[in-house]
Amino acid sequence: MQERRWLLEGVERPDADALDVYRRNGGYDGAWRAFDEIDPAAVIDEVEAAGLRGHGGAWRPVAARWRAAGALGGVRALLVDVSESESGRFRDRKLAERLPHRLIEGALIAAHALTADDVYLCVRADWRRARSVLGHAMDEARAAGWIDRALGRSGHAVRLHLHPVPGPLPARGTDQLLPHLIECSRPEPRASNGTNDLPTLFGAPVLVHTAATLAFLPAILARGSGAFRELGSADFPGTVAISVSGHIRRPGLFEVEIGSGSFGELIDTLAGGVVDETDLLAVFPGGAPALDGDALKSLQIDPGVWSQPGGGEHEGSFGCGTIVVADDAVTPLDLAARWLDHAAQLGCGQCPVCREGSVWLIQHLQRLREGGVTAIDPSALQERLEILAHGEGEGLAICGHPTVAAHVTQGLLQIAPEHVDSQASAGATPIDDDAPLRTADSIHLRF
Amino acid sequence: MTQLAIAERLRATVGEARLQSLLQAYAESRGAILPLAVLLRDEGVGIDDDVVTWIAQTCITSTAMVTSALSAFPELMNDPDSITVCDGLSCRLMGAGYVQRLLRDRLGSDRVCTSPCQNACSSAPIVQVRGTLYGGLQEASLQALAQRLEQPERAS
Amino acid sequence: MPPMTARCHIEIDDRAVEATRGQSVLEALHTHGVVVPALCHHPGLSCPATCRSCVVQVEGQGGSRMVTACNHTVAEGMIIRTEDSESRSLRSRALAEMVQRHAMECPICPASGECELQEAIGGHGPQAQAHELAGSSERVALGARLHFEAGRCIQCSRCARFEQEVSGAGQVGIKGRGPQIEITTGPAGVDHPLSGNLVDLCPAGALVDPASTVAAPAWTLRSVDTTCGSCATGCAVRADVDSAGQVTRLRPRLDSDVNDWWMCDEGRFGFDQELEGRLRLPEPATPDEETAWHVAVDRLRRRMAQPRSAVWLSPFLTLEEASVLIDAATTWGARLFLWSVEDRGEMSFPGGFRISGSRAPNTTGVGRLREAGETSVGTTKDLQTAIGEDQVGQLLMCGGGPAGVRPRLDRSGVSFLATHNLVSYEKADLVLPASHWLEKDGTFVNDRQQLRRVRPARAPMAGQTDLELFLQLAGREPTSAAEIFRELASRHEWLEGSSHAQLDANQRTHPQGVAAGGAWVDTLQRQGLLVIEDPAR
Repeated sequence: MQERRWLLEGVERPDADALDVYRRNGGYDGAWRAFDEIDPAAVIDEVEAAGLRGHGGAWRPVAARWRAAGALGGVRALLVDVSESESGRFRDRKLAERLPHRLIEGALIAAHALTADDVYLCVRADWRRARSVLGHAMDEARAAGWIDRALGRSGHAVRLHLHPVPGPLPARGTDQLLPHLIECSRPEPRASNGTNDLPTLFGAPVLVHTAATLAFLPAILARGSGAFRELGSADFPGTVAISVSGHIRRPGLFEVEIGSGSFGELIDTLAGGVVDETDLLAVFPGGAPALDGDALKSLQIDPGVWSQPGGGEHEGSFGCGTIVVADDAVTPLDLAARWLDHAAQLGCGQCPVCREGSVWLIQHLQRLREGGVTAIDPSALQERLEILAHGEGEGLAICGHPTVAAHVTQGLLQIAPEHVDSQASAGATPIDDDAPLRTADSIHLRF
Repeated sequence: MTQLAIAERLRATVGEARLQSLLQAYAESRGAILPLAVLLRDEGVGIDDDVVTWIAQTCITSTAMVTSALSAFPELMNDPDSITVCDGLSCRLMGAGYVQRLLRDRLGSDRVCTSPCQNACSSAPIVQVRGTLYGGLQEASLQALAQRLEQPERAS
Repeated sequence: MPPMTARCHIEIDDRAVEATRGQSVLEALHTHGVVVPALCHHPGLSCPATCRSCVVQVEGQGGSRMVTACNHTVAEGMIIRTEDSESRSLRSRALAEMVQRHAMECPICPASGECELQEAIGGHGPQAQAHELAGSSERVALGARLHFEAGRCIQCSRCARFEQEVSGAGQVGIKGRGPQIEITTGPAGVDHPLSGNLVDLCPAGALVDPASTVAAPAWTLRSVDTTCGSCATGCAVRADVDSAGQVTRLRPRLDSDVNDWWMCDEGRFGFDQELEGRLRLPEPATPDEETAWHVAVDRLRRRMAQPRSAVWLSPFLTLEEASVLIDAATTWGARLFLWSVEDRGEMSFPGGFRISGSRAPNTTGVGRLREAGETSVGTTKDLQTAIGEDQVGQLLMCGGGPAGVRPRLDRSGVSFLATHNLVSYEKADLVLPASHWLEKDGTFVNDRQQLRRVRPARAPMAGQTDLELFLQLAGREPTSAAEIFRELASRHEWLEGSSHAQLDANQRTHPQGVAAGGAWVDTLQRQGLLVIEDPAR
């Protein structure tokens, strides 16, 4: 297995964030073609031919969304999610810090193709460096005239804004979440009303994309859709950038061809294997149940093998392919408790099933850790997790945040039931206090 | 100097023009609540009742709405000078608990706070001090960082 | 009747029915008598669909799905199921989650008996273990007539949306995140003039009027539908009367032409000062003593039949009362004048609600009688001029407004003054007690020319109503307000086709009840478990 860089091309180049370095290496060639050589409709054709899908986790075909938006009368603004909001993922932050112009170029191409008037780059405020780098890159791009060449609906230049997002958002439902976040300043997704209506910002229709999705556009336009299509699987062409962290020798961001190997290979070859070569378990913060080492080895890096979005056999969601690895110094129960607590704090609190369900579960996992299985009703625990997991599908939740929380927890509890009792009888040893400081051998693409 | 006075000074330093362009980026000025709050924090202004009122007036909305918005992001309410230890999953695994305990012992609990995942997980465990990220902390580098933070703050 | 194209055919629980296109599934269900809980939804507010307690099964294009009834619209051929075990169990689950931390204190909660949450749990909720993590409630005062019981809040966000969309004051918002969310207010609490509606809106008894905690429980009250007489907006209201015959509270009724689901605090809380006030006149009086009604009536008729008599009409009178009094004045040969109450300026709100500038409920109505009448009616200024020119020897001055609204008139030179008022604040030769609008039967015309029906919620404190008094003054046989309105309608073109019965039918309570809070009482009524006696019906 080897890296194939499209999204991260040039990420290690010195001063990769500077406009002249980016431009010298083919940056803004895609924008040039999109603005000056072909019309917006042809840009959409090119994206369709490439088969690009959204890298935010839902993997919807990008061109199809653009066409659907056009059929509904078009959009006024494009909202770009540069907030990551998933524990363990660091792809978009890296992109914003190292390759801000690729992100800006992609956003401008999309805005031009959609004839959107405004682009809001919604960047996490606590990533100070990412914000200043992006802000500087926007100034550079503006001075060089790139922003003025992207034209919105009115024929005027697209307006590019940086909208700071002060903290992480709920893990799912970004489409309805980001516009609402700007409107009411609270991290609350709006409920779907079952129609295909576009999300709105102050009443105007908008489209929401994840940063990484748009950052593929410059290369697709510059190198042509064919080269992109050649990579990956038939349904999921191209590459994917996987964030690998945790107890791993060489944590980092690895961009690989979709379907070119398994997570086991990725961890053992590119990421250098598990620290101390002990047993491992893996957490997929994107919403798939956690796995133990054996199950992980054969699992392909391909959204198609997951039930979400590919309809495959593996339960849960491929998400963005983010993976957090833990060795056997950590017990799954501790991890589950921590995970749920984390998820509860990041929820918006609107739907009772998520708000109250997580309160109940946290309390019962705590009882389990302290008193063992006799302290709780295990079937009730499983039932509440099931309810949480099916929240969105059964109409009890407006977004997939509880599903993600439940899937990860369910997997962790399944991995090692024997841990549950032995740990409880030995008295709780929460990871909070006793875990020692650990160190990776090296870091792939250091922050 | 009250926080409000600092906020008013901001109008002078940031400039009326930039403030206006920030407000005009949104069809309704209440869209600028979070951008304004972040701008204030960047300038080292803590959020208190006066500042909430100031944001409400500037964005033509009520104080309850501003409180409602800001309270959804505990990060905004922390002291801008506090030392933030990332408490995300990867950092936890790599010893964020140890980092928290050590920094709290050395620097006092009130100077140290935790945050949700900061999305720099390959460098876990990480600590953020006034916007600067310290990652891949090992025993030695952590001790050195703690020592440096123990020094009386330089006026910069 | 909407055109046929606006209808569509749907099926509800195996029953083929018609629905209106564009209607929500929830509305269609309600129209056809199927009740599902909807705790975050309020028909007067935007629909966030976050409580998820109205989940039903819908079959349409693309197979069967569980959807929230409140924010999905009906479509031709849609099959809706509410009775299947899956959707029942999902609704029960949503409710169980919602009450998990809800303070279980129904026995001491003033909302008990008309609580939407209680109703929802009763009909759709879980059987046991619901309040597993509940604590007790902590009370916070948000305003003089608004307290917040934190432990009862179910985070439905109705109050916060009301503050954004209807009052526009934005004084209540949602604070925090995840399991910790709760409602918050600005430093001033809630002090806008529509704050009382928050109590009606709250589906869980978390926002309460502190006065209601010592009032009679909801299920012992009987209700009368009437119109608020506190200003010329003429909000449709429901007056709740306790077993002692006291009006304990007013709540708005849905009237989309006038007040939607809302009313102002002045109307809601201001009435009992006048209605039950200690200073109200119990019977007619002269400066020296109280007299019997028939003595007072005889004396007044005798004096008013003398030359140089004048009658000052009040805009607090109903159409029926004013018309009979005009008749009496005509037989006396008395000149007529109309008190015009000073306009304080209209107050309007983002949701379309408004508080009229005129504090008198029937200025328009009495004014229109004047325009149409054979006799001319002068203004306050005309009356003042007439008094100044010594043309007024006997004056009957009608008032009837609240204590703060008093006529300004210099009466020096008037040799006989009779006043007709709720309280006596003026030295007069004869003082006649007036009826409060909650004791009146009749009609008002609001400042938008809409006929508003006023119905008595309690017996007149003075033993007889204004209408009875005026009939005696006019020397007429006792008759009903409805009969007098019929006479009016035959004389006045603008009232043609109207009648009390027709107005009552139009003002029938909306299927969704009095402002949301009354749904539980309505359900009990539907089930025949509670009979609301209404003396006026």
